[in-house]
Amino acid sequence: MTRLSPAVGLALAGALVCAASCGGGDAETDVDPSAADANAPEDADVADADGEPFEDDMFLPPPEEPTTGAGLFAQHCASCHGLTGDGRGTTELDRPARNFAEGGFSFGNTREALFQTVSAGLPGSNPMPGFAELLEEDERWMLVDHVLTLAPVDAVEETPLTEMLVGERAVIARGILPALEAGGDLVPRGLLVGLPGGCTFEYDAERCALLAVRQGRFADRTDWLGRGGTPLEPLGEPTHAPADAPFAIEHEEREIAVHARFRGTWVSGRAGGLEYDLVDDEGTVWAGVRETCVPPSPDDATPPRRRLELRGRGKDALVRVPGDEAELDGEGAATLTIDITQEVSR
Amino acid sequence: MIAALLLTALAQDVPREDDYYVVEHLPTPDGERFEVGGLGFLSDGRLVVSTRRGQVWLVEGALADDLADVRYHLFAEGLQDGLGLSVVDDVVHVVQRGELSRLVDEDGDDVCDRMEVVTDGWGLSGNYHEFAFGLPRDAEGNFYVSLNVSFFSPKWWLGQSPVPYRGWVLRITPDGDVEPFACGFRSPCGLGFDAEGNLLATDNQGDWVASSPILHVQEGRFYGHPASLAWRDPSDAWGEPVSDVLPPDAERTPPAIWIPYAWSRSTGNLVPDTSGGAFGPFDRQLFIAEMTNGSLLRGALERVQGELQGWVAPFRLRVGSACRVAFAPDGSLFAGLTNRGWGGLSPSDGIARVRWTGRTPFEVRDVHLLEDGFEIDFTQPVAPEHDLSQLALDVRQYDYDYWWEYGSPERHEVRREVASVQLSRSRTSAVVRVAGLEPAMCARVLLPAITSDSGEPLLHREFAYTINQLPGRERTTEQVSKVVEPPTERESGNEGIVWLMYGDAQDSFESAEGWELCDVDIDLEDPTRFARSPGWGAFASSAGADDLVTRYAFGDIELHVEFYLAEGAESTLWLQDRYGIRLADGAPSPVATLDDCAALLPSIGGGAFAGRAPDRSGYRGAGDWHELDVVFRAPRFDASGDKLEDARLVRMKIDDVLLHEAVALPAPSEGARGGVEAAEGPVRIAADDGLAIRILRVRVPAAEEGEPDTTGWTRAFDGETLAGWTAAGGDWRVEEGELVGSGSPGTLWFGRAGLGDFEVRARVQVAEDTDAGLLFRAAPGEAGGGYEAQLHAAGDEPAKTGSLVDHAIVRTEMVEAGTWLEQRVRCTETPEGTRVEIWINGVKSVDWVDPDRGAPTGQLGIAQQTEGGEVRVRSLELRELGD
Repeated sequence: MTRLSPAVGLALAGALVCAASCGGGDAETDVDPSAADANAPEDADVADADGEPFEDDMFLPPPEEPTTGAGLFAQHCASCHGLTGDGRGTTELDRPARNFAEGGFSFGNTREALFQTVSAGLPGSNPMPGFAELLEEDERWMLVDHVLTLAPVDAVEETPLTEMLVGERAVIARGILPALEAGGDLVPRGLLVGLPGGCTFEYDAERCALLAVRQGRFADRTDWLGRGGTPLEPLGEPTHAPADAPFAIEHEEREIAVHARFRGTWVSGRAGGLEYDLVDDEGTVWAGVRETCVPPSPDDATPPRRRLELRGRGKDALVRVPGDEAELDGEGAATLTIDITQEVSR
Repeated sequence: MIAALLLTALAQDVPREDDYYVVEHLPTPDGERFEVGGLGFLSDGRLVVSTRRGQVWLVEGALADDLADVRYHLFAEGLQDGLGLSVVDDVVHVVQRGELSRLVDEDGDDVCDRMEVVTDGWGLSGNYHEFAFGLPRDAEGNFYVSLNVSFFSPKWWLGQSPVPYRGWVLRITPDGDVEPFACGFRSPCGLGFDAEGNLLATDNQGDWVASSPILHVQEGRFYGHPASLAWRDPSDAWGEPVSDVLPPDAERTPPAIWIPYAWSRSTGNLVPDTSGGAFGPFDRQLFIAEMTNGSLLRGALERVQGELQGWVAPFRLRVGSACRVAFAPDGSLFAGLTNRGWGGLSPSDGIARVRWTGRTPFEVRDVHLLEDGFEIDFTQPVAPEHDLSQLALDVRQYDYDYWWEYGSPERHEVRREVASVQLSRSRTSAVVRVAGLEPAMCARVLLPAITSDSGEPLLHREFAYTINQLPGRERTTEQVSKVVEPPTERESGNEGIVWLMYGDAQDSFESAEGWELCDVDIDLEDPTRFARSPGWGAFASSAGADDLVTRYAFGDIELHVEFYLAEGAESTLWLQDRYGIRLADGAPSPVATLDDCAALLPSIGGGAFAGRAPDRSGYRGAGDWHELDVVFRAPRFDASGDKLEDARLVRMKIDDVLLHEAVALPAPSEGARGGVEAAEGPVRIAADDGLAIRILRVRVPAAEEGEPDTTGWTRAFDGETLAGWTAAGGDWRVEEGELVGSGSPGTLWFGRAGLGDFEVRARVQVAEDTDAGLLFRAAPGEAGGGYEAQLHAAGDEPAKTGSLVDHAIVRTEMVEAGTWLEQRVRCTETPEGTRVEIWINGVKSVDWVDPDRGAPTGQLGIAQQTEGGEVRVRSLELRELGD
């Protein structure tokens, strides 16, 4: 937005690129081996309010068995991952647990991603339980930091400043989304519903079409960089691919094409979803839909689901939605729960 | 000691903006960037802020005296932009990129639970530039939203409207129906009503938009950017294709105000002062947010010949990158700051609060246009000792080009004679009669340094009035921005330019010791210092750094440099290392002096030239990038070295504000190092740890006097055929008068064998990513023999344009890839050896002697050295030298 001709702007950028490479900027991320310990409990540096170290044991209660990351790991993780994290535990598994020495983690090599996995576990054919119920938050962080000591020192990445995190409440992000497959069209009105536990439902809000279910970290808002307006990056791995079929209405033995008109989103505690109307080409609203995103349960291996609460608008009709259908009696409501069983191979 | 006391006393005597309007920046939560896109207030006085990061915050305590108690609460996140906000019955409404949303808190816990779509009835293609702005609301409850055009590669500068209703202002009814309201917008970042309920929009300069305008948005009107016309006929669902480059034939409504480029390069929104006096003496006037200069502007409209037009003036500098303004219930003005990717003054994020101190500034309160001049109202009576008729008012008129090129310079600038100035009996109003005032032109008026009855000097002395029509005159059909013949090629604007910091920021200088490539901001703790951060935005000097002295010597030169100063910084820009221009920070004084930034230094001893203060202060202050443009004419000497003509500063501007014109420089300035006057000399920029520069470029104007030197020159390329040339590899042909080499690598050899001393000049264009060079004293089929004058280097090749490959390396990209350039090469035998001289666009990049005389004679060839590359030649002339 300056009058500098674009060429000038480019020139500046060019100047800068070249000069930077001459200036020796180093793009590689150096990881300080001590960094992994930076967030570990600081029992060595206990100090009083004036900053003076306490005299040895003078005012401290008698020592208890301290909770350490290593202790927690031995107690909760080693049976599968092995005490050294090499994936050779005592428990018999179909596929061995992750070997941390290989330096890769399921959903990214940041402390936050590991914390997510430790807290929520992993679904799928080779599941891992979550420890959010069993362990306090600080204990889970201790575990994370211990696991990182078992990984190569250069394995850890900083969480980008543009990453959106999901805490105990569902988070919904609107933004341009990249195409799911290479060469596809990007999604200008994308919608990500991020649920606690690391499950993300990915929608095209213009069609109210569920595109994918992901597991892992939530989203990198790359549109917070530069001038903005770039696609954001969902960070979870696709785990399930929902059926993609058009909405339709059957009324008095006629099939009526309807499309979804996006009405908004909602969040209620840990749950979240969207609302839309099913509208025909004349603009007649046949039904209102409140859709809830239901995450998969690692405990009983239920797949992710979409729960659709349909509210009729006074006409008897059969409502077809991707993967299911329901009869409306014109007065009341119907609820559909649609399993998304089609797993994406990983 | 006495001097210091005196300075303090003086500083206290000169009133500053702070004495009238205090700017405070609200502390923001740690780790959050407040890139503000929308501002509003709840009935309980809490401020609501939407950001470009798609967050909505509730801010408690924003109106309190002590801003330390401000508290933030995240109300909503995950929105797709948030560039407009409106509070309706305490319900927050935000315009996102793709929808207008109502943010509902169902359980009263100050967290949004439902985001309801009021409408998403406009298109998104996915292009990054498709921002949506808002969100004023009229008395009937309709919202207004404005939509950017899209910018696609590669011709991103030509805005497109690929989906409805890009480039439109939409009216959205309370029921969510979308009504396309008006079109012809480009990047209409700000929407708002004036105090009378007229809808106004700001736009941003670029294609078809000459400078930043304020537009009176009326239903069905078209405002100039053609792309949006695709959706003008609602019956045509797919839109009509619209030309990118031909002016549309739709009737164009001119802007009510053109804001001068010097005052705004990225305009935000605007609000009227409806505080009823709580904000000072400017009741009902407009306050306008400005990002690039980080300032607030003030203006007002009046109806002339049935249409609104008006004036604008600086109001408050140093606010930060203001994108949004809103009046708080207590009459203070809040500014929301952001500049990410848009360029602006720091602070670049956050919230600023502007409060009136209760002291009335001496200002131009209002301006009314007369048939032959202006009636100017002041906020206080003019001091009786001023005889205004004896004081010089400076009135300049100018207009703009209406074309597809990016922005427009101020054209047809002309100084109008002030015929008379008459003060009213109360001395609070003056009638200024101007000879020859024309409609369809802007007028910029600089008032003299007068004081008020109470001794206050005029705080801002300038205003700009957009005279679409003159009252009492016949209505003109002309507009300020006039249809002109558009340039045929975008590249033409860069022809002849030599970049001195492009590619390698250091290589154009003798030494760049102590200079660092980084991003700079003013250190808020110590504004005399820079806060530096990793980045490529500036070339910053540190204490003890070497001066930057160009490796090249210049005669006549047009120089463009952008500079940035910390408080108290002092530097000098030396032309030919002899004529000094002061670059220094300092509070602007009512009358510019030799201490001001942009003053010309006196000559050594002061006898020949006493120095010259700028006509006005073009310098805005520390922490702000300034664009300095200098046109310099070197002194002329006769054959015996006697000076025929003094050096001359033809013109000098900062951000388009003319500061010097036609000033003779009869002798080197005090402190010059360049020695006795000569035809040429380098540019020197004195180091100072509060100085940063960026974009340094020059243009050497074509020789102006005498006949072109045609002696001995022959055309080696006849413009039609390859006669006289032989290709060795590659695809060589003539297209539309241009010799083109493309395809696989190859060389086109000129038939003259045994070429010894010669001079060649060529006009050449080399595509990006293509290696190409002019070979001479070389032989076909013999690799490594002869010399190569680099035309363009691709990739990592260090020898850039202007180099003599393998012998004299230029690491700076002197010419942008794909731009037509002039290369001149001279190769002669001298007693010391074979001398090779190379000029690029008139700048001598190489003067090198080969004592081994490695290649005494040979052939001339044009080499295209990249698979799939392209080189084009418009002319190539040869002159054989020597016996």
